Amino acid sequence: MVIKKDRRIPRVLIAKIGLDGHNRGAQVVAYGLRDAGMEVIYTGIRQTPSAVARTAIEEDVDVIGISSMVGAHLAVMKKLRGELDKLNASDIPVIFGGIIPEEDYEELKRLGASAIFPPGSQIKEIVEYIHSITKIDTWVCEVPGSLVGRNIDNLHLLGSKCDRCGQTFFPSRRNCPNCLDENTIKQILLSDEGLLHTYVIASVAPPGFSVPHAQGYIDLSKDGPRIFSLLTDYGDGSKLRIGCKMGLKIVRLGRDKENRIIVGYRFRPIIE
Amino acid sequence: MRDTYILGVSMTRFGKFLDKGLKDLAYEPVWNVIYESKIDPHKIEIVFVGNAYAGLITGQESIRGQVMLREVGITRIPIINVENACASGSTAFFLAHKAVASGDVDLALALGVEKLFCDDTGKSLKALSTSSDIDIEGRMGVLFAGIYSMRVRAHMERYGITKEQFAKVSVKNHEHGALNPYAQYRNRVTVDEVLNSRMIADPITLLMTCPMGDGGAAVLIGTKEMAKAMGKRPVRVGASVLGSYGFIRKDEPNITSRVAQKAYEEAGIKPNDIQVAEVHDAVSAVELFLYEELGFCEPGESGRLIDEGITWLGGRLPVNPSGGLTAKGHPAGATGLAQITEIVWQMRQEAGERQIKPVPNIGLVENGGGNVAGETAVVAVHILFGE
Repeated sequence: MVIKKDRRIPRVLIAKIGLDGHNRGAQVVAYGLRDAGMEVIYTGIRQTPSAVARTAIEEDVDVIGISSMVGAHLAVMKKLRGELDKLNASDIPVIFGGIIPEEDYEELKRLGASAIFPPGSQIKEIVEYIHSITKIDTWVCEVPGSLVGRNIDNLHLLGSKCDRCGQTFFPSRRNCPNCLDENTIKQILLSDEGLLHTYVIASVAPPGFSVPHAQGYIDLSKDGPRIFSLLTDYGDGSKLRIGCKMGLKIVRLGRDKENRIIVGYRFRPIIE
Repeated sequence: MRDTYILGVSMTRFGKFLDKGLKDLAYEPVWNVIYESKIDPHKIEIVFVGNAYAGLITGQESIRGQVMLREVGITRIPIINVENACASGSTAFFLAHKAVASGDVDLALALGVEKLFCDDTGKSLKALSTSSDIDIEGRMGVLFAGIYSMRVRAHMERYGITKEQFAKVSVKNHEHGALNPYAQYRNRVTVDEVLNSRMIADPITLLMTCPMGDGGAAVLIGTKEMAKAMGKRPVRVGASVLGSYGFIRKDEPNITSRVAQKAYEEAGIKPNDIQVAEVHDAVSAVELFLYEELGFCEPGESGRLIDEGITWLGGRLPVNPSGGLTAKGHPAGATGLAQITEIVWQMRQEAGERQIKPVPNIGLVENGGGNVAGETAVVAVHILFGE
């Protein structure tokens, strides 16, 4: 029997934070998840919250599993949450395993833990849970680095802003090309709306694109950059005017070789 | 830096030459400039070869200049391959000028060759579409006629320039092209014909766009002594400036204005000193923007220049006397050097039926290429002085 996977294999980061050297539990879970077909990244003991948050992003994991045996779980969760927030990665779920008193469950969940697996939990339960929270389709951007969001139905344009010169850029970038500094740039969510600077409905299109081929420049709201985009839902063209209000539309463009959904951004006129 | 001078200039006729290869298109202009310059070809110390698309179209990669010059016979010396989209030829010129200006060499050759026609038009169009960022704007099928059309619309909205005025640029350039034996198109067109030709990217019609083309052009750059020994009017390079796109903020001057400003400063002149210009009218409407960006008139005033005949042959500032890209053709890598060739011919009274009178002494060349982040990727502006 061939099982068709409609999503990628979950990637899990197993980490221990702080001066907690009891790593048997973490290793048992790491091996168990690996044997269940997941990709596991194991940090080893004595990690800092910032290192774990960074690793989670660099390794593009779907879930972070923290093992805690010495009662520091609340402090660890709080700090890890702060580090993830700083990196715009608070959407990565965090799950806990280890010795955690039941009376702390509520507080730990309030701080952001999505599940807690006490001693006696079966690997199978953890596997099922991870599958359930990573069941969303994985996707790739048509334009790399242009969209962000965990849910394919709720994606936004990802840009950058330089704290020093104030200029915004799209798509997101690693430094500010004016200040030539990596430290002044930060990723920002750009507005889903803007005004149409100019546009064309071309009667010809490059190979691989259909006609009419409509393109425009949109000045994004909230001091966003001017971005180039294909236009959609413009009817016979009479809805398009220079200066008219435009809204983001996420479109699905098929699948890549790894069966991920390719998503792109388009802009459509908003009639008020 | 010392002054540099243009010696011989040459171009092939532009057009569709399915029977000619890169080597054929290089041979004629290179030997023409050698003979014209009255120099010993062994004295050429370096060659810069501009070409944009032959790798994609013919499969010849990596050492296109060396291969093109094989039949010409130029070997052993440094041959530098230059690729900068439709400004590749101008980039080769910029580098050859710098090589002589620095005192490093006395005689440098700039060659530009392009072969866009093959038996597969789709392949040619696909090659042209690679002059964008293929990861970003290119992913969404950025179309050059479309980019120009968008600028036209924004300009029409802001300044009220009309389709008829854009069409007149095509009429003018075809009129000039009809007088140029090197032009791809030598037919005249009317405003009605231009407006009623096939719609490409509203409001741009087929007769407002430049054709694909094959062709070659070459320019030799040397010292003042060589220019005098040549026996023709010495033409000095007053400025050769090259610039790239920027992430410009709204209402910030664009790349062409920036590069032109620098060129005027380098040459020590003002825009109204220019007496003839060859500009990059990939779409005829763009020529009007260029009048404004190059400072020939105030923003929004370009329509008046074409209406009043100022930029026609016989006007105060003839623009694209060769026919421009619209009529003369646009074999990308050769274009910049062909523009320089035209200005030099005009200064040396070698422009035949399209000769400007009185003979111009100060000329400008503007050549652009590619598109990144909404700006032209490369722009070159050269200013030449006939002495």
